[in-house]
Amino acid sequence: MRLFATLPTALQPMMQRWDAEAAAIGNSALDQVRALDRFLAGVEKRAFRIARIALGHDEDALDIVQDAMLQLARRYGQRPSEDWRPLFYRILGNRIRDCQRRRRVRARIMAWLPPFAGSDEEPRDSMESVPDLAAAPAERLAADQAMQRLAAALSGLPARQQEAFMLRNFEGLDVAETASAMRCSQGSVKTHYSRAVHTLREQLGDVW
Amino acid sequence: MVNTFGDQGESGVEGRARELFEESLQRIDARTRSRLTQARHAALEELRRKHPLGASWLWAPAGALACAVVALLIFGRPGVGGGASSAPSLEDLEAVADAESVELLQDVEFYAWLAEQRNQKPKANRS
Repeated sequence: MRLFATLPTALQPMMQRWDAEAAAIGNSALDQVRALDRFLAGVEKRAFRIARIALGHDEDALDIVQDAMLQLARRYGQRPSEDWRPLFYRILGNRIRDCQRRRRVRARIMAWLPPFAGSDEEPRDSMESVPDLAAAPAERLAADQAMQRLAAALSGLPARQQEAFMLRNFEGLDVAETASAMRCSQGSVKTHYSRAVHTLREQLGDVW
Repeated sequence: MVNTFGDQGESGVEGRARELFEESLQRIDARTRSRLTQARHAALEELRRKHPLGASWLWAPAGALACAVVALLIFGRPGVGGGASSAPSLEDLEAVADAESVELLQDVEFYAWLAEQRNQKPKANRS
């Protein structure tokens, strides 16, 4: 039959086109996963430090960063990679505020309850807590102390000032990106940031 | 130092804060780094799960095969049109193969209609 001879030949261009399109879509999705990997690898430590300063607690900071990463992948993974930065910090900021709100509620409830002895934190392996010893001990100690002073001063700032300072200064977001992450106007970002710098300068000195 | 803070300039406290922050990133302990890596992998897995890598296109070859079988059943069965002249030409098959959507290609009624149109053509030409 002529049909049997002609059918494979006729279907071949279509199959080839589908193969090419499938490969293109597969490659594009793979590129997106790689781009997200690079983005998250670039921000994960910074996000942890920011959450740690805002919350003062390692485990809470880790949980929040993990949740922010998942949310970014789930909700915005297909968006262009240029959009990820403000979106990620918006999610992170929301999670930090949620955590702080929960803590305030918990503190009010705990104030009504009798004191509870003990902690629900798992004991940590002391070897796992060993930091990277790249710097000399004396320098590292000085840097640690300076960072602790900075973290303490930042903790004392109003939440919006703290957020504006960390996003602008630590993360290097510009005014527009910070406004997008904080869901406020660019003018508000400038005001929050300026007040934060003023307070920090008063507390820490111009260069400490 | 590059001024990243617009025209307001940068004070010592801003530069020092950033410097300390960058240094502190190097001192994050191994356990935390490991947890962050795990969190990142979980997020990437979520992206792969949510948006499989072209999984819908895995059905394209199967769809093409189904089309080929349906086309064979319709065009190849004895009695349709009859004779060598009723065998589909390459143009007919291209009409099927060039259809844009898989849904259309999978529509059996479309092939039946195509076969019917083809069978009616010679009669119309004769009249």
